[in-house]
Amino acid sequence: MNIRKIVYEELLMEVEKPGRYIGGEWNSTKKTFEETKCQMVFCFPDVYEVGMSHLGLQILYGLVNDTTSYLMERSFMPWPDMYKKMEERGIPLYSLESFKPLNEFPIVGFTLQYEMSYTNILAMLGLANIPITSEERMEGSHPLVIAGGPCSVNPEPISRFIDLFLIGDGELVLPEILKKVANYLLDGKIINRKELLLELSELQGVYIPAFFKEEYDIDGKYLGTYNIFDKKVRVKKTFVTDLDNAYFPTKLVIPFVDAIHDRMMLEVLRGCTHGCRFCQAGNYYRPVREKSVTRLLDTAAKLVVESGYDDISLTSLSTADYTGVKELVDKLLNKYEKDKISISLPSLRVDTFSVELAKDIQKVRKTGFTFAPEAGTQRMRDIINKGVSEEDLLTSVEGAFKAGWQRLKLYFMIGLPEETDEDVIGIIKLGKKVLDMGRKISGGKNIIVTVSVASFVPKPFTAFQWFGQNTKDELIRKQYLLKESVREFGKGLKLSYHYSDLSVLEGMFARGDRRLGGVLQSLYEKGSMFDSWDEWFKLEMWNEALEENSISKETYSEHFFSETEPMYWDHIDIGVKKKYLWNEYQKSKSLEITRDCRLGCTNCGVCNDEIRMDIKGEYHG
Amino acid sequence: MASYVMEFCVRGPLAYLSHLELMKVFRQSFRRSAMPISFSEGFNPHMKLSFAIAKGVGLESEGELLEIETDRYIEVNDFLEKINKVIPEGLKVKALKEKTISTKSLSSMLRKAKYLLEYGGGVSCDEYRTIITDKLNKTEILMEVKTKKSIGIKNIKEYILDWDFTDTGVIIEVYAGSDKNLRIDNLLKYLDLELKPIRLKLIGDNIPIIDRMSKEEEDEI
Repeated sequence: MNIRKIVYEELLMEVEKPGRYIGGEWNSTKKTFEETKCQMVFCFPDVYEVGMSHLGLQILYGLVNDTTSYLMERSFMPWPDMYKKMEERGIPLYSLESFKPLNEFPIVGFTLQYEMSYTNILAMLGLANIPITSEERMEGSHPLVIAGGPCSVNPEPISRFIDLFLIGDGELVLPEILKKVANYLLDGKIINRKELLLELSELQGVYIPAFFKEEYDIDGKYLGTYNIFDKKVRVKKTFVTDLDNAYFPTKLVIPFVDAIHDRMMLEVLRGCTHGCRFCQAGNYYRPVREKSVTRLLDTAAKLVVESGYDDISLTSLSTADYTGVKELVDKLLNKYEKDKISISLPSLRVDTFSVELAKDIQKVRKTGFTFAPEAGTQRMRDIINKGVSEEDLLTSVEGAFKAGWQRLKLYFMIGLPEETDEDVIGIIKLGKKVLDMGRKISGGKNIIVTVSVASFVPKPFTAFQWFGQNTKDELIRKQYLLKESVREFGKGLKLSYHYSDLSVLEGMFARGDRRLGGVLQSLYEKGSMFDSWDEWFKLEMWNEALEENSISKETYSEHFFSETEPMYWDHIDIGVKKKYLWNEYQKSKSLEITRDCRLGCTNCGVCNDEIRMDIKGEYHG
Repeated sequence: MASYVMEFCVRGPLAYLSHLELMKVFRQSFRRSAMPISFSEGFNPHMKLSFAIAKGVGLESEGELLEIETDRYIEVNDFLEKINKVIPEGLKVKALKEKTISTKSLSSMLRKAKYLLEYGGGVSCDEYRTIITDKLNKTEILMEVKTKKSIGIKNIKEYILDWDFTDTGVIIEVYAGSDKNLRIDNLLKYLDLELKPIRLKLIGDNIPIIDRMSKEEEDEI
């Protein structure tokens, strides 16, 4: 079947944004199967514009394709209109480079960025005619289906469908995997699959669910998930120890269709030292490793020449923390202002330093400014260890308004541990203070303050992993309380919040176990897809799938783990110790703050002889 | 300061890019070429480039026109070499001329477009010829045409200037531009035959690229 011909001649005229499905972007690889030893297709389980915004894809794509022996191509979840057409016409999911069906690749790899994209993974495997479960793939000749990314810290809910998880920074281990798989190929197909899996299991960061088994006592109480060969074995995360010298792509694939983040992405550091107790990324990406200003300037110069983009985004979990940020921003502005290349900082702290930085960057055109105080009262901010005071916020906001910004967005959460109604109302009180300040400074001009409130989802490997999520009713009650507060004393504020059914399901997956595999399989059979998109999410489908598997989502989302109770992700070791997280949880209850670990180690347990914090300059916290 | 008109073709899957996506490809390609393209003044400067007319999604073309301004004169061959090195496969800049005669915008200079409607098979060339001749020779061809806001009736016969048969299809010339414009998909809907359209050329008053292709070259396509 000539997939390319059928897609071009019969399908593209019939679908929205056909540019998503044509490949051929600038810097996309032209290497072939024939000239390489092993091939992998990187699958992003969401639509093209979302997937092409992902820096991880660009890093791994560049890394593999810069070698002569290995090839990486890309595939994305087709939008439902295209998905349906492909199904009807019998077109299997294909890669954008060679237009080969996914099942012709020895390795099919997914990135796990958010729990609600799991149904898309199954839909993609299904469209590619690849058996969806790992067990079915053991017989016959099928691709090795692998996965990585932040959600792989608790792989169990999706472990039924994945042969191998890669936990940690993928840059080091992925080439090793390709090399090993290459030795097990005969005419492009994997032979001796079990032997191959055994060999791969020896690599650091590799988790193979088939080699682990859950254990329950006679009453059905969960005891733990253990390696079948050696009960003591845990899966250790991999780390890039020297980020400054690690691979970074300079020939980005430039999408034709506008991506959500369509710009040069320059990763200035990895990790975060603040120790916010709700934050999974802050724990997962520890310890902080910075790049040098020299390296970053050099990378930027190459990116500018090779990409054609006119915006450089300095990315990280908290870019204002980067010790070289001022020097880097000044030098970039100096060098590229004449070329009309702008700089953007997507993640700023709530402090004057950040506002000053933003002022340097947006001298003329002031787009929106975003701050994340996360909670409305000091008590609540102490509980979550967000080291921001009301004064910090108001000073920063004052700076922003005085500098001419008119649109401000404030991020908050509801449903946090120990939360009272006062804390919820406090969000609107704080928002109102910000709005009033803006109106005073600007003389009542068109100030827009948006209060965006997410519902808290407890995540594995955080201090709040033991905490049971608020019930749906409780979340809705708090959302209503916010709405009423705006009406009562917060007039003029814009309020937005999330759909609580989605938050509860996210909570179920985040701290779920292997039994949830059944729910995903039922959802796949019902044709569920794009569940992170409100317009496609179908609650009835989810309720049916849960019922068919006799699973109540609340058993997972609302569960409070006890201190001694085994957790479904205890066999994964990300470096940060469970004892440290438990202490953090206890400290939160007594409103005890933990310092930023740049100011002195807080003994989270991640640093050792092999991996340590790597900071290039002096900290201005 | 110099002003140029550039002729380029769009072949294969890149025909499926939207007008805005195509614009973006050129903006980024010019940046990669490091040529001194001029920017507008103001808070939000943008590159000075504009197409003569939007190209429908899915339509391949051998002769789109793009107007650009540069901060200084660039030698034509140098320009062509530089841009073609950094442009994605499927696009090719074929010719470039300095725009010296008119200060009017390219889109307001545009008058006509020439298309090749390639026979798709099913019926023989002779049959195609008979049916098409018959259909185009009508004195009045009324069609329901979608406009931005509503549906209007158009006599598309008034928009058809000339046609000529070749072995592989029919070459047809229609009005194009801001004054009077016929979208080729409307004509195809009327003809109701297996035909694949390719835009061959855009023609206008004083547009500096004139009759670049000979008749023989056109026949080759």
